[in-house]
Amino acid sequence: MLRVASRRLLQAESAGFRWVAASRDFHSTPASAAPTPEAREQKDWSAVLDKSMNTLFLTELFRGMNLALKHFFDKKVTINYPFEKGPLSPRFRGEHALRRYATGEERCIACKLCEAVCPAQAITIEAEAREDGSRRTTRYDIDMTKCIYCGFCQEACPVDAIVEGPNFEFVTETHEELLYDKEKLLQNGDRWETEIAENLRTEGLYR
Amino acid sequence: MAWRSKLSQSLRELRIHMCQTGVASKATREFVVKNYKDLKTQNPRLPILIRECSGIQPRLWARYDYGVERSIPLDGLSEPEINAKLEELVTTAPKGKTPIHA
Amino acid sequence: MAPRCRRYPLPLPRSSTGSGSRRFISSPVDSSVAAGSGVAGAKGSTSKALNSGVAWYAGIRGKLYERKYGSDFYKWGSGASLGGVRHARVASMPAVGAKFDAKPEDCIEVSVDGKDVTVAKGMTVLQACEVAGVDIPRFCYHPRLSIAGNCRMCLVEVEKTPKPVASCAMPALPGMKIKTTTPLVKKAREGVMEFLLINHPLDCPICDQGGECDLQDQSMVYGSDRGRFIEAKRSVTDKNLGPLVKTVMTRCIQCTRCVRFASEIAGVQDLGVLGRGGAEEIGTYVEKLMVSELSGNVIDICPVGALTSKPSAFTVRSWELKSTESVDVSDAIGANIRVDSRGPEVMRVIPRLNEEVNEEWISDKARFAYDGLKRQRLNEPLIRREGQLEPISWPQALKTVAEAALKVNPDEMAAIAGKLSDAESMMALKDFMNRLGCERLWVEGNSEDTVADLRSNYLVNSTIAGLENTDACLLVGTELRIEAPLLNHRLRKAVRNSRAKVGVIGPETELHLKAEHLGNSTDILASIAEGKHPFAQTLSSAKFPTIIVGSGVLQRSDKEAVLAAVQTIAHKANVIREDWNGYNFLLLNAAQAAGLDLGFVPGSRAPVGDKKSIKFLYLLGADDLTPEDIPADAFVVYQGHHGDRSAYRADVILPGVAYTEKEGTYENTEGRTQQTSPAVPTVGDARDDWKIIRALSEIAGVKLPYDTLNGVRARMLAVAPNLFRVDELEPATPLPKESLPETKGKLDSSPFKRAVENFYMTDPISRASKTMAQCTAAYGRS
Repeated sequence: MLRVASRRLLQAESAGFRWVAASRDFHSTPASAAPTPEAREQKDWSAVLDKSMNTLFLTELFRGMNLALKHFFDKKVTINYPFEKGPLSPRFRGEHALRRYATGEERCIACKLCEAVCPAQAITIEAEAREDGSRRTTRYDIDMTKCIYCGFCQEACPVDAIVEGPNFEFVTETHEELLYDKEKLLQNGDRWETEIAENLRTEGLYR
Repeated sequence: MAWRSKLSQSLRELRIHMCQTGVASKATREFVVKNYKDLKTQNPRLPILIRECSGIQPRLWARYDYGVERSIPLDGLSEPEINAKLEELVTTAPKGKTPIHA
Repeated sequence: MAPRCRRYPLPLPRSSTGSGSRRFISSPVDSSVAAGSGVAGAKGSTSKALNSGVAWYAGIRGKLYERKYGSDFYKWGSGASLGGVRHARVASMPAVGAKFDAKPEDCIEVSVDGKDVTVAKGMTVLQACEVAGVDIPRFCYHPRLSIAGNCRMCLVEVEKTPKPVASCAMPALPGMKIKTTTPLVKKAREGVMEFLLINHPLDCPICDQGGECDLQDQSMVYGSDRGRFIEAKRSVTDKNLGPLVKTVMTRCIQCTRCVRFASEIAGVQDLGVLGRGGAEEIGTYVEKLMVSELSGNVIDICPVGALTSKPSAFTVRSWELKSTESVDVSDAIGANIRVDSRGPEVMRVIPRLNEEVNEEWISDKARFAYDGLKRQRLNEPLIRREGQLEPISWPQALKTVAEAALKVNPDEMAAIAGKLSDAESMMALKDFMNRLGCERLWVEGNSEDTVADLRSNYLVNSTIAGLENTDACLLVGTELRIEAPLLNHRLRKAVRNSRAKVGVIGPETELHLKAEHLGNSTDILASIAEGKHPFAQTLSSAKFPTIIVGSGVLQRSDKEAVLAAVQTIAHKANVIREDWNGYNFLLLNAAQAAGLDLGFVPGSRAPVGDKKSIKFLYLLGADDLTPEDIPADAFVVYQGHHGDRSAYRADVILPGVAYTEKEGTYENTEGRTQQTSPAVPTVGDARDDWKIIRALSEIAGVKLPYDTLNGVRARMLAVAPNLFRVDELEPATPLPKESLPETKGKLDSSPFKRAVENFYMTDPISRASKTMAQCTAAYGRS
C-alpha cells in the first residue's frame, strides 16, 4: 500500500516536475527536465521519506522561526543613532573643508588640480591675483550633490587645502544649500580644523 | 564717345570683374588698360571698381539708382565689343524708378 | 650678452594647420607632429607632442614589464596609458617627418636611428632628426631665433664622436650616423634635466605655465623619477618689465630665448644675461621696462613660467580652455590668433602660426586688449528720450530707425563703417543705403572721397612676407612700428638679413631698426620724385625697392599730389615691374581693405565734404567722429558693441557683436581674405551686424535679398569676388602709368601728421581695456 502510494506520489511528483519544468522553461526539453524512469527507481526510499515528512510537517518553516527566535534573545548590533554613532577611521571621507595655515592664511593657492582630477566635475574654481599679489581663488564651489566623495581632490591638493573631513551629517532641506561655495567651505574648515588636523597627523605617513 | 561723359549720370557705380591671367579675360584686361584713363577723366566721381580674382568669369556690373544692378558677361568678347556693352549699359539704364520716399 | 656672430637655423617650414594643441612655439616638436599627425590638437594633451619620445621611453618601460611579467603582459595598443602619460599613437607607427624645399644638388644623406634621410646642406643635426620624424627635446633652440646651444638638452650621440653633440648647433655632415635612443643619450637627458631642476623652484601649483610647460613635459618623459638634491636652491629677484609681462626669475632656466628675441625680433636691446654660472640672471640691468610692441611674445617663447602674462595671471589653466582659431582685428595686418575661452569669457589670445602674415608673433594690442570685451558692452537697443538713453525692444528700435530714414532726403543721409566692421555687415549696409538712395558712404580711416578703383593703389602689393626681400624702402607719412608692428618686423628682418636701406619721410619716430629719417616735409618727397635727393639713387639702384605710404596721407588736403609724387618715384625707381610690385599702401584698420574692395565709397552723385548737411547718420561702430562734426539736428544711429564716443551722441543704439563672437570676413592690408570664428556667445540681446541691417531693411520697405550668411557672401561674390577666397591672396595687377588719369593738385609743405595718436588705444575694444590703459600709463603712446 505504502509502496503503491509512494510510487504514485513519485509519479505525481515526477509528473509534476515534468509538467512544471515544461511550463517554466521553454528551452530545456521535457525529457531532460524529468528524471528518467531508471533514475526514479534508483532513488533512495529514505530520501523520499525525508522529503515527504518535511513537506507534511513544514520543517523549513520551523527552522526559520527557530532562527528568528534565537536572534530575538541575542544581543543586538543595532546602535541607537543619533545617541550612539558608529566608529570612524581617520581616513573617513565626509564633508569637504578648506583649511588654513596656523597664521590664518588660507591654504588654497588656486592650482586647480582638484578641479581637474574631480571625476564628477563637482568643483568650480575661478582665480585671480589678490591685492597683495598672491594667487588665490575668487570662487571655489563644490556641488555636494555631484560629488562622489572619492577623496581625489584631497589626494591631489599639494598644500592640503581641500580635505574631506569626518562630518557626514550635513543634510539640508533645499538643494541650494548643498551647493557649497568658498565661504561655506572655509567656515567648515574653521569649525572642523581640530579633528581634521588630528586625522591628517595620523594619516600623513600613508598619504 | 559722348555717352562716356553721361556715364556718371546714369550709373552710380561700375564694376569690372576679371581674372588676372585667364585667356577669357584677356580682352577685358586690355579694355581696362586702354580705357580706364579716359573713363575716369570724364567721370572723376564715378567709382569704377576693377576687381581681379583668379579663375572668375569676366563681367561688367553696373549699379543704378536705388540698388538696381545689371551685369553682362564679357568672356569671348573683343575690346570694341566690350565698349559696346558698356554703352549698352548706359543707354538701357532704367529710368523713372520711383524712390521709396516719393 | 648675445654673441657678435650669430648662427641662424635654416628655415624648415612648419604646417600652419592644427598645430594649436598648445602654445606651439614652445612645443619641442614642431613640424613632425603637425605635418604627420592627423590629430587635431586642441585638447591640451601636451605629451602628444612628444610622441616618439614617449614611445621610446615606453619601450624601455615595456621591456621592464616584459622581464617581470613575461612578454605577453605589456601589450601596446593605441591610446594605452603609460603611467598616466597618455599618447595618441601606437609606438610602432612611423612618425612622418618635416618637409623642406631644396634642390637635389643641395642635399646630403645622413642616417638617424638607422633610418636614412636626405636633408639640405647646412641643416643641423636637430633639423635632420626633425626631417626623420624623431623628436629631440630642447629648451634654448627656437627655429626663428639664432642658435645658442646653452641648454644642452638636445644632446645626441653621433658615431665616432668622443662626446655627445648639441644637435641644435652641430651642422649635419654627409654620412653622419645620428643616434638618439642609446643609453648615453638617455643618461645625458636625465642628467641635463636633473641639473635644470636643481635650482628650479617647486612652483608648479602656483605657476601659470603648469599644464603647458616644456620643463614639465620633458621631465615627465626624459627625466628621472627621483631627485637627490638636498641643498638649498638659489632664488632670484623679480624684474619689472612692464604691465604686460610678469616675471618670476627664480623659475628661469637661462635658455636666453627672451634675450635673443628682444634683440633679434623686437629690435630692442633691453634684455641681457648678467652674471655667470649659477648666479646668472636675465634682466634689464637698469630699472627699465621692456618697451616694444612685440613684448608679449616673450611669454610664448619662454619654455618655463619665468615670463608669463600679467593681465591673465593666475586666472586659467590650459586644460580648461576652449580654443577657437580666429583673426585679429586690432590693426590691418590680420594676424592669425587663437582665442582661448572658458565658458562665455575670453581668457586669453595667443598667436597662431601663419608664415605669410604674422609668423608666430602678434602685437601687444592684439594679445592683451581682450579684457576690453567685458567692459562697456552694449547689450540691448537704446533710444534717446529727453536726452537720456532708455532701453527699448528690437522691433520698436528698428521701427524708429526706419521711420527716421524714410523721412529724410537721400542726399542728406550718410553712413560710416567703423574700424572693426566685417565685410558682411559693410555689404549689407551698402546695399541698404543704396536702396534708400544714399550714396554717401565711407570707411573710418579713409577720407570721405577715397577712390577705390584700383586695388593695387590701396594694398601692400609686395605682400607682408614679401617685404622681407626688399633692399631699399621709403616710408612716406607712416610710423610703421605703431601702425603695423608686424610689418615693421618684416622690414626689420630685411634690414638685419640683407642690410636694407630705409628712409623715412614723416614724423620722427623710433622704428627699432636702422633707418634714416629724411625729414618731415613734402619737399623731400618732391626732390626724390625729381631725382635730386640721394635717396632716389638708393631706390633706383636697389633690386627690390619698396615704398610704404601710410593711410594718414588720406587725411591731407593735398593727398592726390602726394600720391602722384609717390607714383612718380615708384615708376622712376622701377618699383612697379612685372615680377615685383613694391608699391605698398598701408591701411590702418581691419575694415578698410574689405570696405574699399566692396566699394564702400561715395557714389557718383553723393554730396561729399559738407558734413553740415547730414540729417541721418548711420554709424556702424564708427567712433572717430567728434560730436562737433555731427550736426546737432542729425538723427544718429549707432550700431556697435561698445559704448564708445559716438554712442553718447546717438539717438538710437543697436547692439552688435564683437569680432570674437561672430563669423566675419576681414581682409588684411595685403589683400588676404580671412575669417574670424565665434569663440564666445554674445552679450545680452546683441545680434549679428548684418542681420540687424537686414531686419531694418525689411521694416524700411527695401528688403535685402539675402537671409543667410551664405546669401550675404554670395552677394559679396558679385561685388568683390576675392572676398570669397578665404585665406587666399589675390594679387592686384597695377595699371601702367599711361593708363592712369592725370592728377591735379600741388603739394603743400605741411608736415605729415601722426595717424595713430596712441598705439594702445585705437579701437573701441582697446579703449575699453584696463590693460591697454595701464600700458598707456607705463609706456606712453607707443
